[in-house]
Amino acid sequence: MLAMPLFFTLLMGVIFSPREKQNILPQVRLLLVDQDSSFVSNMMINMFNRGELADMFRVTQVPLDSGRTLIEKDQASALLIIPTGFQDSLIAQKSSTVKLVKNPGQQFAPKMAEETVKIFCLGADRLFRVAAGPVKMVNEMFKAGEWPDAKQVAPLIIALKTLFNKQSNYLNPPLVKLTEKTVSIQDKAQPDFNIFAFLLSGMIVMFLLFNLDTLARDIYREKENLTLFRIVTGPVSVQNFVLSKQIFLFLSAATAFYLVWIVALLFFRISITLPQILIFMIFSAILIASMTGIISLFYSMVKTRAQGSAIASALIICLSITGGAMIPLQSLPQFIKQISFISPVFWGVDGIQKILIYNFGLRQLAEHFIILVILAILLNTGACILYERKFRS
Amino acid sequence: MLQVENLTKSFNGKLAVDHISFEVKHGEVFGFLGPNGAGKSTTINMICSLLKPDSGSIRINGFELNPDEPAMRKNLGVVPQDIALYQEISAVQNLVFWGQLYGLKGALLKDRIDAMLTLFGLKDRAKEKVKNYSGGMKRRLNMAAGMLHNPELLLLDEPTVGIDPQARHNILDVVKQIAREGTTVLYTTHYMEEAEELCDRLAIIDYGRILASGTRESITKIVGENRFLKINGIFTAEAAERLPKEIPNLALISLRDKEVVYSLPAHFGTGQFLEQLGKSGFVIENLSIKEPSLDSVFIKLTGRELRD
Repeated sequence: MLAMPLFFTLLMGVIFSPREKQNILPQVRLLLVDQDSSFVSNMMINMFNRGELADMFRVTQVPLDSGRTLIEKDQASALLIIPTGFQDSLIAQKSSTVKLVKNPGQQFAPKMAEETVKIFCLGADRLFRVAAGPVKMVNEMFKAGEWPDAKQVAPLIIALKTLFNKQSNYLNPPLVKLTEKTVSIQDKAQPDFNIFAFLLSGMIVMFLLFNLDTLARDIYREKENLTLFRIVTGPVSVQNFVLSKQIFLFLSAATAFYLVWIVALLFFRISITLPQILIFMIFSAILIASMTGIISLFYSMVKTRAQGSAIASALIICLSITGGAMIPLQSLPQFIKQISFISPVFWGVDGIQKILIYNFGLRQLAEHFIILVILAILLNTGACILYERKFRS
Repeated sequence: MLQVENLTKSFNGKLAVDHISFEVKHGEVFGFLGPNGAGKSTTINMICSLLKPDSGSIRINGFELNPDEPAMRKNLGVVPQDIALYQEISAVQNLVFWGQLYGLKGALLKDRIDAMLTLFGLKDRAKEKVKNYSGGMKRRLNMAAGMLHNPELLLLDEPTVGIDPQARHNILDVVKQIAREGTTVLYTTHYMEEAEELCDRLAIIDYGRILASGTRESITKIVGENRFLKINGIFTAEAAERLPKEIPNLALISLRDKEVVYSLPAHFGTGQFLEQLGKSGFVIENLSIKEPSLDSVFIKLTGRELRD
């Protein structure tokens, strides 16, 4: 009774549930041949190992031959070669070339490496056009291999200050400013559309019907085993017996229904507030009662268990399709959308989706509530009457 | 205890029970003897409110049976013809369920279950699943479930069909015992021997009608001292019909293709009769003689044997 709904919930959860941090693209494996071994080439390597680029790129320094071999073996996305004298050329304001060998066997990763390297080259070009002097001084300090003293640092600071003063008109304040903010749930003006909750609402209603179908056959098992005979010839009225079966159907189906939702809510991050949980519980109970009515009425009209189980699956699939439980209503042909309101399943699925995704309250769902309550009363009463006639002919 | 008057039930226009009336007195075993399809089970089903009679009345302890008042059925025990038990649970679990259905609980329920398991010889395997029981054991448990609440009136619908002799004896012994203890029993069967052994009074039923009722002695008086002879063989219908004219008090009971049944007066010797048959051109393949009994009453009343 629980296995199938739980299995599909877990499957759908794994596929559709939202995640906190998700790497959509695969990591780019970039090989780097640093023939320059300079301050600038080190800066370039460090750039790939920091921040978001570190998530996107996995940079490995390799000798040139090994790098080419790995590209040929399709074990890397691109090979970046920083030639000897790269930094000196830049300081001297001369043109210099870095070489990027792309793996033709891969589609997106080499392109990502290319774009990133292009941005770096552009940045390096601008830096050396503006700040070649200070960079040269820093480079010489590093070349000396000793920690610089005040005499060495002072001219660098003066040079940097002069540089910033000259560039201040361009740098302060920046003309374009990027503001970054992570939106918390409370700040949301509009709720997030949770595709998992949307799809699961329909699927669970369909599973509910299938569960009820399996459970409703129990009354025919009682008939086949003649235990029904013994029960209704005892001090129990047929109405009481049928009513107890209806309650059993309702409670069993409700248990399975809520368990599946608990799994979905806890493990697959369907966010729902406490008042909405209450609305969800009430609405679901009415939904389960009306679905119990549908299945019970159906089984009270069939002659045998075999006949019932043969027709029930087709009936459930029809109800699920027209009600948007099996396939989202939005994806169905226009004529089905127009008749969907006839299907009781529609009112259930639509209601659950509105509670979970759009945070609808009781008032907004009044129409759904009224329709499902009426259906629950009429269908269950009808089933009781027909069963009574059937068992006491 | 139980009064049935003019009870009628038809299915699709065909009368299954045709204006039957009988009374079962307090503490007696009343037999309902008839072949399969005679209307015995239909009558039982109406008494236990499973079927609505087309007409007639059923009174238990003087009160008209009302299907909408299930409390009236609390003093009624029903043992259906087929096994009506949950196969996937044990005998004890079955009895607990059925006992609770009749309002038994606590020590009383436990005592009654113990008593029933002992009475039917099922105590050793009481905790075993019913599906693992033999046919005879299931029958006995089926009966135990119907008697668990110690009903005043017990309806037994052919409780010994298809079981081994040992289980059959056990069931018959139990019926005798509970009858001695004051339980009123309505016992349907198509086994004449069971009816003769158990019943204080009985009714013979066929095609939904009661053909005769009373004590065994009063019913067998219907055939008097006559014996019944069933002859299978080759003969002409004219010869078969002419024979009663040639032998005084010989009555033709039934005549079918290659089969004829006669009622032969006690004073007329069988050898003499066979001689007469030979003279009339009968080629006898099989001959059976029934001494005066319930079976011979049934033959006289219906022209058929009970097991036909």
